[in-house]
Amino acid sequence: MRASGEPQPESGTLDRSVIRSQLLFGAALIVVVFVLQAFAPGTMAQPLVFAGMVLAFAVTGVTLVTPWHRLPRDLGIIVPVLDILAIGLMRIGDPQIGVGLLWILPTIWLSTYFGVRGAIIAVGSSSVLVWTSEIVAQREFAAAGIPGVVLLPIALFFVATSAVLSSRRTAAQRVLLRSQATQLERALRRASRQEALLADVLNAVEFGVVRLDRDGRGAIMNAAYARLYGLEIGRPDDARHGTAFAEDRETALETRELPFNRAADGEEFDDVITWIPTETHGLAAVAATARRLFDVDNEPDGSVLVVRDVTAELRAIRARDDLVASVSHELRTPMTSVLGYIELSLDDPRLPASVRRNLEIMERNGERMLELIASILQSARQGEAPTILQVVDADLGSIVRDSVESLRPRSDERGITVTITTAERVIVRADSFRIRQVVDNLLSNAIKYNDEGGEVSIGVTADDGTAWIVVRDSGIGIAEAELPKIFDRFYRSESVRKGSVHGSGLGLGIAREFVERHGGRLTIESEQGVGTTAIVTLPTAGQGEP
Amino acid sequence: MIIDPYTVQLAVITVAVVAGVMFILDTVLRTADAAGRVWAVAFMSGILASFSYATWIVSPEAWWAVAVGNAAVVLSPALLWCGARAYNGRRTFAWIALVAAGAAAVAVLAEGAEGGDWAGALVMFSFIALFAALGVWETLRAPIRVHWAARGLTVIFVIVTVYYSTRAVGFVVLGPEDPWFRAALGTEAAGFVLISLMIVAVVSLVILQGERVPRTSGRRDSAPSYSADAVLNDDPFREIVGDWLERANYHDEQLVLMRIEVDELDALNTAFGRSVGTQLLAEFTEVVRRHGSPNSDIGHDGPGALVMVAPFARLDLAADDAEAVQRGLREHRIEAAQGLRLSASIGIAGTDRFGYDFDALMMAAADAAANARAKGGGVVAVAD
Repeated sequence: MRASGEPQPESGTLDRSVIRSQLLFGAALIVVVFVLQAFAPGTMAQPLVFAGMVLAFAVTGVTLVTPWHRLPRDLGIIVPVLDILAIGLMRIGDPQIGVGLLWILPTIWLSTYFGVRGAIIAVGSSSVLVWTSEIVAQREFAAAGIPGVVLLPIALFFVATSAVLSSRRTAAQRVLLRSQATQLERALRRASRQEALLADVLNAVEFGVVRLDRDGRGAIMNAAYARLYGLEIGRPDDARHGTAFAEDRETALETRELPFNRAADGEEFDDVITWIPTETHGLAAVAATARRLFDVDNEPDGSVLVVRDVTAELRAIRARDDLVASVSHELRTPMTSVLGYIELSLDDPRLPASVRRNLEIMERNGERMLELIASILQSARQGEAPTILQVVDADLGSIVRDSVESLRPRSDERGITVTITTAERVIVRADSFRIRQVVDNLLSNAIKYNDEGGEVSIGVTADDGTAWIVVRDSGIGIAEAELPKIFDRFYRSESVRKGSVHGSGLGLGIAREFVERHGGRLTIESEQGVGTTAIVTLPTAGQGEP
Repeated sequence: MIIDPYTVQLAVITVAVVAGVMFILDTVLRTADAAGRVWAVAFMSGILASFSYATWIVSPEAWWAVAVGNAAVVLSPALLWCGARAYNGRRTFAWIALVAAGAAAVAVLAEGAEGGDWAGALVMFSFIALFAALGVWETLRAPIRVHWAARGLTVIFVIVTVYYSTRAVGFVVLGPEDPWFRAALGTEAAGFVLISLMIVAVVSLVILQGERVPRTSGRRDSAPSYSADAVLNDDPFREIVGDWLERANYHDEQLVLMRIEVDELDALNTAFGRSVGTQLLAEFTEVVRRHGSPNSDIGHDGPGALVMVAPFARLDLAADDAEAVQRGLREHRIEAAQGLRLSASIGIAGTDRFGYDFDALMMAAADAAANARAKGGGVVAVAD
């Protein structure tokens, strides 16, 4: 035997199961022999009893030093069989001693480790040995002997059965445990693959995303977010700290006002602009949107915060506004000069009446143009100083009539019939110049975006406290998809941009702004190819007055 | 005082059985190595010998029991010597023990039923004295001799050598019927000598086993050479961490103690058996070593509990590390346990909160780990 001091981890289980079972048996045997030695000293002098004991000791000793893991598993079956034999020898030597009960141990062992096969071997060999001992003893077969002959094998049979069943159950549980472990592993692998995929996707997108857990701590952050805020991607919770300024670029936000912390408090918001310092180029504008999330039980489960760098966007808008403002400013100077000369010409008493009328129309429109330029300038300054309304008692009916009159040349040019359906005298507290501007805009749109020879109708009505101006045309209409955008500044619809009609794209936006500042509403309904209806509602009492 | 041989033999049996069973149980409950197993067999043969002699004393007509008894009694010191050789990492030469035992038995059988009480006695005495002498020599060789418990074994072997040599000489010179021989070297006297020696032997061997078993998991007293599951023992850990703490205190740097406890250790041991349990713990240590911070020391603090000490500026950074260890455990599949994965309850305590006292920190970390366990295990808890 070669003994090595090193442990053999993989061999441990089998090694120990054989040795432990045998040692248990050995211990039980020692106790039995000890008791026999003390209380029935003569018994051991029976050669067979003594031989049985020596056999059991020898088997135990050999078992202890045998490297079971190097031998086939089935070889282990020899040990309990020899144990059974040893007990059999002792019992044959002296059937009176109760060593037969010791058979239970190898029986359990065989049944547990070798299943039905082991159980049959155990019960069979024990039974044969019981009967052999009875035959050797040459006892009279009597009723009193039955328990010894029959009961022991039966008891062993039941012990074996229960051991087989429980070992099967254990084996089945092991199988289930392993399959559960495998499934768990698969799920784990799938989950980590999905996590990796999600991380890849999140890191590929341009906008920053942070997932907040239900305690309001940052759970996941993508690369864009980390880049934007100069954070470490592995530390999503660091997003709760930082410096940011409000939309005016000057007011520093307190920590709890940062979009992250607002989202952490469960707030939802859209495109909140904050300015954050960057390493390279001053402040960057960030638009943040937060949404709460809910788990399968509809319980709040944190939030997600999405941020976009809108610095370039805001800069472009600013550049556009600057451009518009400077262009308008440049237009104003020649226009003033044009108007001056028209005025000079009108002062000439020799002017033919028809020319004078034309010049007067020119003067009126020139002045309106000048005022339009002024309002564009104002609008471009982003409402830094909103237009002050000159509220007077204005007659909507006359405004509409004047407007139709002033646009007559254009409608005549395209052969469009402009009908005034009703033009009641409706007095409204309003800035008549701005309302005229609105009506002009709607009417000129109705004419501009109409077919040759089309129709336009306009009407003014009023009921309790509300005045209505309705402009309806038989024109080209607006696509449904474009309707929501028509009030955006500088927006011109697809069909219009391709056509020959010129325009700034400012008109409707400005018109709606004026109407809303009067406390009214401007709505547009349209069907492509059929026509458009614009409805202006105004409170007759004016804005803010009862 | 006259005590009859049967009573003496009963006493010898009692002591042999109790000592033997104790040692065998100790062997079973530990992961025994070759030396432990050989020693266990030595004890078993001792028990067998006492049973055999008892049989012969009660029924003198069973003279063959003496053959078994003599063989077993020779086998016992022979195997003790073999075990010591195995302990020292040498070949066991168990066949020598078996041949000697066989020779002792043959010596009795050769004289047959007429051999009398002392049949084969001289052969037995000589063999015992020989193997005991070999045992003396073996227990004085490295590495076993570094253990103080081996001294006990050496002393036993010396006494047995001297006593049995004397017995052999006395048997030849004086003869077994000499009154002086009967008084000092007779069966009864030998019984008493055996009883006292057996008690010393079992204590020495149990201690030797205990010293030996931790070595199999790669732990040494100091300066551990690399092994996958090497961690520091209690005392070196205390010493090293004490040094860390003292130096960190001077620099006002935070040290964090992280106590990592395997969840459901008892259930694991019951379900898979102690040897798989031991392997689970070895793999557990391996994972902690692999996934814990490399700038740390790891100590062993009770079954299934490791303590890692490392500097961390903030406790949440330490918690991140603890999560990494948890992840490592989750991803580590243990084949020996049906592909089971371990989980651990981790308690964290930092010097910023608990000061630079080793015991206070250990206690705080243990409390935090208990907290983590109370939450169902598999979580990280920070002491505060």
